[in-house]
Amino acid sequence: MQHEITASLIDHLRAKTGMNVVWVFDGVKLPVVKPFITVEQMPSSESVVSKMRDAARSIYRFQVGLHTQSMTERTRKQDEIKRIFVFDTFDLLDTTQIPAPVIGSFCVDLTGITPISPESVSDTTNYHKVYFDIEIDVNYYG
Amino acid sequence: MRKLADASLAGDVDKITETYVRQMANQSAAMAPVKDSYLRNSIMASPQQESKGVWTYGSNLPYAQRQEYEHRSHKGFIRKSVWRNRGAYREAVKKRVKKAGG
Repeated sequence: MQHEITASLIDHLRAKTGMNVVWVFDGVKLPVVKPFITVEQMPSSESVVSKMRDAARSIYRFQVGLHTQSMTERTRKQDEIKRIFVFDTFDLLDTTQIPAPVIGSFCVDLTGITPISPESVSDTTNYHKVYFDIEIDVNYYG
Repeated sequence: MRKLADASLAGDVDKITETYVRQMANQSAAMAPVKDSYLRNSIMASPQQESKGVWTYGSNLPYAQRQEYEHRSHKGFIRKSVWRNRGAYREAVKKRVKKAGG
């Protein structure tokens, strides 16, 4: 499910924003051209929600970074992405098939928006960044 | 009697919150990157009561937020401990409120 949810998030963000969306993996090289979005997996929480172990719950977490060229661009696109996370329903894609069919849908909980400044003013490549913390709450039935 | 029960409930919820916040701060400090010990110590010393039942913790260092989101191997040291304790904290508060008949 991790792969399906990540791919679905990236696909939706690409389609809605028209921006380059990068799946952050070990050793990834970030694009030079801004703006772009990064999607990075964070630790999930797992729990069994019924005594007979026939239902379980996972909370998938991501930090989504918006990297822009200017403060104006950052704040405008930040609002655009915030609205996507707050109001949109995301198609869940079955990534085991090509092309991936839609097999369901999910909503996202936006839990935080954090702008990050570079440590040094000379570090211009790290200017104008903001991170969104999101969660996707999934229940499974055995 | 009602006021007494309310005060006791608020006091207990405050104690539960303090316990969890201190626990989260300790876990965050243990997970924080250690170049020098300033970041770790700032987190350990940070828990404070804002009002009854409302506690905060974190770091006052200017680079803490950036490390939280962008450190190569230790990012999320604050959020991870919050995620780890969030469910248990909510359950503990819920249990105490139920005991009061809420």
